[in-house]
Amino acid sequence: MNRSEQSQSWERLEQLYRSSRDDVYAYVLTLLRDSSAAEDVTAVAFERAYRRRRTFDRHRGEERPWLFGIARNAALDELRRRGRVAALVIDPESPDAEPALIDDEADILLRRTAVRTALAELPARDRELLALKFQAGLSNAELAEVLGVSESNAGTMLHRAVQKLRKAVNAPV
Amino acid sequence: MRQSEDMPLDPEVLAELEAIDATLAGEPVDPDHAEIAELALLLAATRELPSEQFTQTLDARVARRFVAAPAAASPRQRARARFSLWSTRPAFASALAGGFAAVVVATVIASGALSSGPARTAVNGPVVYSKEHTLSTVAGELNTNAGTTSEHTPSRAAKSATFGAASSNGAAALSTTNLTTASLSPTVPTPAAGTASHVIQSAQLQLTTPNAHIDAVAQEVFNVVSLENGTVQHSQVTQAAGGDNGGSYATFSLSIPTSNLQQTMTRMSSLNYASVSSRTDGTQNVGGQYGADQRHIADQKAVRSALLRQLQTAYTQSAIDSLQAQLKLAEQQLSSDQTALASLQHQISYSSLQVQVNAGPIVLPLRAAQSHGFTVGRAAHDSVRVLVVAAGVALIALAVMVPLGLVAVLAAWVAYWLRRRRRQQALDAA
Repeated sequence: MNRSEQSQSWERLEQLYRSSRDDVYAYVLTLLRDSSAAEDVTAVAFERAYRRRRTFDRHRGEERPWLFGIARNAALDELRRRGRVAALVIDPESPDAEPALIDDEADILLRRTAVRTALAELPARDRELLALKFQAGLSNAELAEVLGVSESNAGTMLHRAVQKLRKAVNAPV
Repeated sequence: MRQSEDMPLDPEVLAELEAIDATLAGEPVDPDHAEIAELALLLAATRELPSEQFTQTLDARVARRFVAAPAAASPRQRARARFSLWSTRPAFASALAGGFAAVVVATVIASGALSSGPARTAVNGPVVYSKEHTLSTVAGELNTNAGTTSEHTPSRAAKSATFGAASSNGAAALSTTNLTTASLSPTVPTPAAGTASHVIQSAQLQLTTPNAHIDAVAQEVFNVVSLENGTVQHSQVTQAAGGDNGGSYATFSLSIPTSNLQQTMTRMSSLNYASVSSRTDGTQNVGGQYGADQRHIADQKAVRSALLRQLQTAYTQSAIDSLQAQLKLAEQQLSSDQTALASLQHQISYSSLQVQVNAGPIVLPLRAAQSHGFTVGRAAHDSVRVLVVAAGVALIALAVMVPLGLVAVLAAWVAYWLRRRRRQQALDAA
């Protein structure tokens, strides 16, 4: 690989970093439920991506699923290393954009907290699916690529996870 | 299971998934899917952002292209970085495994070459008969005795006698003595250094050559004798018609300077058209006789001096005549002793070498083919040999590399599978 190609590969990775940093963090945080570990794993994921950028083959897929695959493995390695479930770290006061369909602010906060709590109680596999879809913003095809399943399979899994979450949110407290 | 899940999605599921995608894209959705759209927005809204401090630190690291900044990194981060470095370099691990495999292969091939090398020399060099197996087997046994045989001169002499006798008795004895040659030729002692230790050395060499090459071998023998400053005391070359087993033979009685005997034997053992059938080395310690001769000479000299002194003081003619007679006798004795000592000295300085060349079927060593310049046919022959040897080496290397490669691939697959399984287990446990 000559200097020009190296420079191009680095520029592509830098662009990927800028567009995906927060998505990767959000996904890893949902998986690990530990903000400190999520920061470490996010950094490790990007460093691994940097080291492996020359091995990335565009013909085998897009860059975002490739990056999330690396982040996923790093997060699972972290989970394996810890051998335990991290303490749930949820910031109920996290300020976010308001959904257009909901008007009442108190009700919004209440429902958001309920969703967050329900999400935290889901199995890790479902949590991961929902994080990849709703927090990292991956398409179903990209999600399938990260998980190593077919697209229809990914859709089915996602639908099941959404149904579980919906059920958990609507469950009487 | 996987197959059933790969089937087309249920229309209702598909509609909900499309509603989710539309919601996330900010597009309007069917009121029937309002609930799931709301859930999608709430889920998206639960997304948390990294801290400002973390983003700044990571931005800086990315700007540095992850070049280490040890002072800024925490021990945990450094450990992580090391882990990351090793775990993200499969090429390095592959290279390491490949290097290890190459070393193993090289070692195996080299050890194979080393172990086959001397055997090839022992068998190929001296002779290749139809009884090759028998010869090489006995060679192996006798090789182990080479050290003891060569260190003790008396016992060695005894063995030499045995071999010499056996060598005239047929093929079995022939193979035995042949072995002695192969194993002993590099280590045969040179007790002579000759005159200093007063040892008389002798040797016998039996060579085999194709019937048609008797003359050529005889000429080679003469050349070697000339090179080593020896003399041919007697030679006989008889050429007979016939095949390889024809009745041609040649015998040579040679006198070789003792200091050149081993080199002569080495040269004789590597003639272009002959192979060694047997070799016998003999030594005789004549130190006692040499000392006795020297003492006799000294005594005779003392007697002569005494007689000369008496002769100077003799008065009578009869006494003078008597002394002169004794003096003459003493001088004769002295001369005789000196001649005997000189003869002994010559035997010590020059060794007797008996060479017998017999016709017989042999495979000529490669050097015979190499020794007469370049021809296209010979070059082609050599090329084919080189190719055959290269193909053999490649085959051996493949025979080693293929199983090793399969094992490596299997190990890599198992390691990958185990790692993936552990990750899945970690995910399930979370």
